[in-house]
Amino acid sequence: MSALEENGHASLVRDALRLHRTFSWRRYWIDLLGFLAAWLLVSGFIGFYCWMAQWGK
Amino acid sequence: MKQAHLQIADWAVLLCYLGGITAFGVLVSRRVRDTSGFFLGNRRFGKAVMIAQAMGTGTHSDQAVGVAGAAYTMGLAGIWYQWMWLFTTPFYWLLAPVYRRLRVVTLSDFFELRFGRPYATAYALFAIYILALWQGIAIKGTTVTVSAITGIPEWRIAVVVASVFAIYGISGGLVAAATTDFVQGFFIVFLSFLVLPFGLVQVGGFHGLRAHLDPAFFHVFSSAGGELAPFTVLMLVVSGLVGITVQPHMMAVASSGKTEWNCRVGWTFGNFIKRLCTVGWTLTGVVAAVLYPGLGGAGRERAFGVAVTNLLPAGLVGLMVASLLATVMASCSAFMVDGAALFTRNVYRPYISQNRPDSHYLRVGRCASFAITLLGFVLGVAMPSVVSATVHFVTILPFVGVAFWVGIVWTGANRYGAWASSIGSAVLFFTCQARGISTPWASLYSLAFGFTSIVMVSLATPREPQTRLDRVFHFLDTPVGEEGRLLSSGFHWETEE
Repeated sequence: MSALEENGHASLVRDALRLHRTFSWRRYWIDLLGFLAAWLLVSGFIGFYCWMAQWGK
Repeated sequence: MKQAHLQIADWAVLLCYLGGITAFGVLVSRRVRDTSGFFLGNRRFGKAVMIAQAMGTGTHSDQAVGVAGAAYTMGLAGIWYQWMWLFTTPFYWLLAPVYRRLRVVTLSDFFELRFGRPYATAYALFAIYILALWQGIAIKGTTVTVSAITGIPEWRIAVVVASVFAIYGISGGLVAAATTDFVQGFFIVFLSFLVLPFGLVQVGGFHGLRAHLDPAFFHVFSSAGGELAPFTVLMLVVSGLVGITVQPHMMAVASSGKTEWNCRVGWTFGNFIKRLCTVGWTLTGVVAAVLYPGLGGAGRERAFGVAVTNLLPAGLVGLMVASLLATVMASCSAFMVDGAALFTRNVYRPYISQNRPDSHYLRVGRCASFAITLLGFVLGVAMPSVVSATVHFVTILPFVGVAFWVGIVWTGANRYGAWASSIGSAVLFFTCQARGISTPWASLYSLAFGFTSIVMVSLATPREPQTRLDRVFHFLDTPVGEEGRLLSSGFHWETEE
């Protein structure tokens, strides 16, 4: 196990079949935080679009 | 409605753009001295270039025209024609480091390491055809729109566009393609929002839109109806997520950054910017529905062009035309380089001429770039019926994507499983379609068969040799920046950082 992998650079995709053994926040925090942030952005886009659909009422 | 013609100011803007982008592309080409630079930019790109590359390669003017057309007839819900990909975008964050860590030049290189040369060659030939086809479709789609705006014959526009991106792409490869994308990206943003202020002023803002249109036009979800039913969207997202991994240009888009972080940020946020631009395309269609209501359902895709010619003043029409051309050149230059990489590395070098100096393969790459562009040009302009007859073959990409996904996460997958999965699921998909089963259900059956068959066949047949598996999985387990571990374990690769 490499030092970088131990500190957040491990890949959720690569480790998908062994996550039950390897999962920890510390190992996957870059994947998890970025993935979560991207979903928040998706929610933000949809929220903004719904808000925009109310303009002019 | 106005008749389309360019004014002197428009010509000035257009010529400045075409001359400037060619000169810029050729200028940055001086940095390219070997195949690694030509095909992958030596994997030195920063975040800004990676974002621009992802946005430029993935955005075509026909998408803007299509979304504006959908919004013209169904209102704000028309955005889902492009926004269905919104739900695949977060996964790019997870996938980018996978591509970067493989440390290969093409996806076919990966398939050769993982499933052997025959599977890799079959993929390479199919991918070259797809890239040429996409070039043809992009050129065709843009020239139709630009011709409608300017009145210039389609073939003349096609020749100019293909010549410009071929000049800088052949000389500078991915370095020129990606660097010019940085400029073209601004033009794509212009394209998306340029018409809107003029249109909104004419209709009286959002209050004016509401006064003229049915309230259903402002429903974000419900108006899409059967065209974009939830199950259809779900299956498009799932098959899109499986298939996008093996789109032939993904290796360059997702792995040419200097660091894993650059690759993640570039691929993910380049696509998010594109999603934002989609809002502009949709609103342009809604504005056109108020101002030019007579186009009808069949003519809805003219909405974008009609809005451009009628709303923009002299000079800005030229800027809009330049922006439309930017989308096609950004995409096609990347497709050209990616196709050349596949031909040179995965067809020419293993089968035609091995062990030649790198400069030889660089020359072959440049010649292949020209040939692939020529093929795309012929497919797009001279033989439109061939394009429409074969474009559905692109739908089998997800069935190769199954082999990629399983090949990445499971060491037990082997070449027999990959072949069985790809061929079996493609045959099943087309059989379902021939029997009248709808595309979403055909996709579901085929993907289920693909994932099941690769596992079952792989379990029943011999594993891949351990050395082959080590080359793939040790690399995947080694983040960029820890290459010393690979070197000390005796591994070498062509694009060593």
